[in-house]
Amino acid sequence: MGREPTVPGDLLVGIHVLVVEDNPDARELFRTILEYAGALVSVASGAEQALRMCEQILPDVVLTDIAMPERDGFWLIGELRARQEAGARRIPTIAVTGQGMASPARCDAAGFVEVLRKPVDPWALCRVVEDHARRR
Amino acid sequence: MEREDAGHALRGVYTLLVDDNPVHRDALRDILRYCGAWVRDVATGDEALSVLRETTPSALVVVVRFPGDASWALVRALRAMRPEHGGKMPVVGVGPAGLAVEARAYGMDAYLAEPIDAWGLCRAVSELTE
Repeated sequence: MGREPTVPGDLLVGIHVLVVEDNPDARELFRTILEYAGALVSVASGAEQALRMCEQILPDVVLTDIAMPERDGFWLIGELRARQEAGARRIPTIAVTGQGMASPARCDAAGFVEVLRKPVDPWALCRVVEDHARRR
Repeated sequence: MEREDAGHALRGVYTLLVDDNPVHRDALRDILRYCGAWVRDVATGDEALSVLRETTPSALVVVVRFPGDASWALVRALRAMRPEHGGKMPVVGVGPAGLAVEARAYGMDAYLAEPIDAWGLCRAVSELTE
């Protein structure tokens, strides 16, 4: 009867998410979804900007597009992992990718904790973010 | 700070934020606002001093790029002011690791080494303004 329960408005309260996406429409869409569920959201328009941000402010979770001009999502997670191996805190990193863009095996090997295929269900996205932020 | 406190830990706290990097400044401003603060953000020490001539913030958050940069001069100028003009205002510095002792010697009340945690920043401002 009626709608399925979606997400409580406070699901992501107290969780800081960094969204890395070169497409401004998609970036604002992800920001809006996560803020709707209560998250603190920072955004970066590319992998290099995201890495600079992570050197100054460590988010609880990173959500990154894979295919981006210049440095891509694989480059970003490689750099984040190198810093973790050097002693930095681990940041769970979730990939968002177009259909057929990146093989699941390659994403797993790169160290993404989860891969979401576009089009993304907003509530599934929020639950995945919550799950990995809590596990951290 | 507990998760559920995040949204109102800084309610009613007027925070002056000084950071010359616009991307980084936006991120810090969003964090402080998320925690409930009312934030005025500026890029330079001169702009900060001009805000301090008009209003009295509850706390100053200042980004340090290197030892002895403009943030040092700003804090020194602030500490030279009368208490009623903000001379004793809590100051939180944010910047490279290894400067905590120096930052305190220059008059900062707390110093957070990068990379910082959003909740750690809110906690530091909250504790100093309670």
